[in-house]
Amino acid sequence: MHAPFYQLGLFNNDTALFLAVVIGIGFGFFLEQAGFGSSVKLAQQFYLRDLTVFKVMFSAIITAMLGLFWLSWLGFIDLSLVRILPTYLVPQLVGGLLFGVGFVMGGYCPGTCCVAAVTGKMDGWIHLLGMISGIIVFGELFPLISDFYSSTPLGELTLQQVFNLSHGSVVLLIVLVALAGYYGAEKLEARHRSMR
Amino acid sequence: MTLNKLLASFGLILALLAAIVGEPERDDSTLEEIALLIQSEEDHMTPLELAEQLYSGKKIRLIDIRDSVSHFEQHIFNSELMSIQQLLKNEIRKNELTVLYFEGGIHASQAWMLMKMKHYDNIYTLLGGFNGWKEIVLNPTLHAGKTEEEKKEFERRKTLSRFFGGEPIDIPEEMSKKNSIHQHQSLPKNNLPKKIRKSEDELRFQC
Repeated sequence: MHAPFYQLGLFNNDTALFLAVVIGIGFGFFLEQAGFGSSVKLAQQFYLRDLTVFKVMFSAIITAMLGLFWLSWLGFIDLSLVRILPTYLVPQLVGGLLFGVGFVMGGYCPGTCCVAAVTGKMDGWIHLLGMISGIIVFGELFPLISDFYSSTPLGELTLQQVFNLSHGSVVLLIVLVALAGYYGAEKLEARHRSMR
Repeated sequence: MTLNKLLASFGLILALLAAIVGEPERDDSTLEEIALLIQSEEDHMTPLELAEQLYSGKKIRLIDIRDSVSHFEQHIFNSELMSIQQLLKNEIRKNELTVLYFEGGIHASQAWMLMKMKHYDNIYTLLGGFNGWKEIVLNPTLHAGKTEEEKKEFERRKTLSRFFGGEPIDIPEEMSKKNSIHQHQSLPKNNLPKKIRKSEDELRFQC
């Protein structure tokens, strides 16, 4: 096994932080190149006019998923060492809802607001400020909501456990969902273009 | 065919093959690997090995899975109190060099087994548990009549013992003789007290 590098002790915390900055800059660059530095473009998704966000994000998920599956099969990565965030059903549903409301209202998600801010967009800076304030408020209120935060724990839940399917079957299922999604997205965008 | 369609087809082929392959690991040899580790005694560290590595400054995460009363009464320096349930909740990083200990060896071995099933690769138990640690590291004993080599070894053990806050026991020749005569005279053979100091081989046999 050769990866994950950090878990296998190939580099220390300092190097890991440095690499995180490099990867973060790369991530931001590609977000910007995909046009995600514009809240107008991002908000178009919620009106089903421009589904670039959906297509880019789903493509990233599929690329990573297929990459991890086959790299593991070829023996280059030990998937058991890849950390899976534990599921806390109700708090995560509430968090997801809050995130969605923030996304619709502000037109940015946490990553894209940083991209917008550094490319000089005022709404990006305001969103970023809101996000930082939210983090501080959350931190300060944490003792009050810590019980809720760790309620309904389901452990490191994966789709193959939920559906009782093999990893490979879940991979195929998600790819099929994505392809159907891309097809639907293209149709919706074409309909919108013809209506203009 | 456009690039998008080409990529979509490539992705679909990989996904279909994934469904045929089933699992991303080529063989599930977890149980066999665990059996091999136990068989080759690579599942544990001896108290001396642990002490020497800690003394040399090696970073080892020590987990005390005894109850809190025992922990606060006495524990290995820098060890953390943790229940087995907490251990399973990923309180430690996979691949982080970790040593588990209990009073003896059995409970820690059970926890070790669970952690191995969760693919923790760099985890060990302490041979003989905390009892073994006390006996071998904290209170090494030198009986009278030992060879020069054994005395030299005892000197090395004394350094380790003091480093970890222990008290080496050096039994003077006279006291040893007296004890020996006393034991010989007053106790029937089958009631002789156990040896004060067990060797690590004996610990291994017990666990």
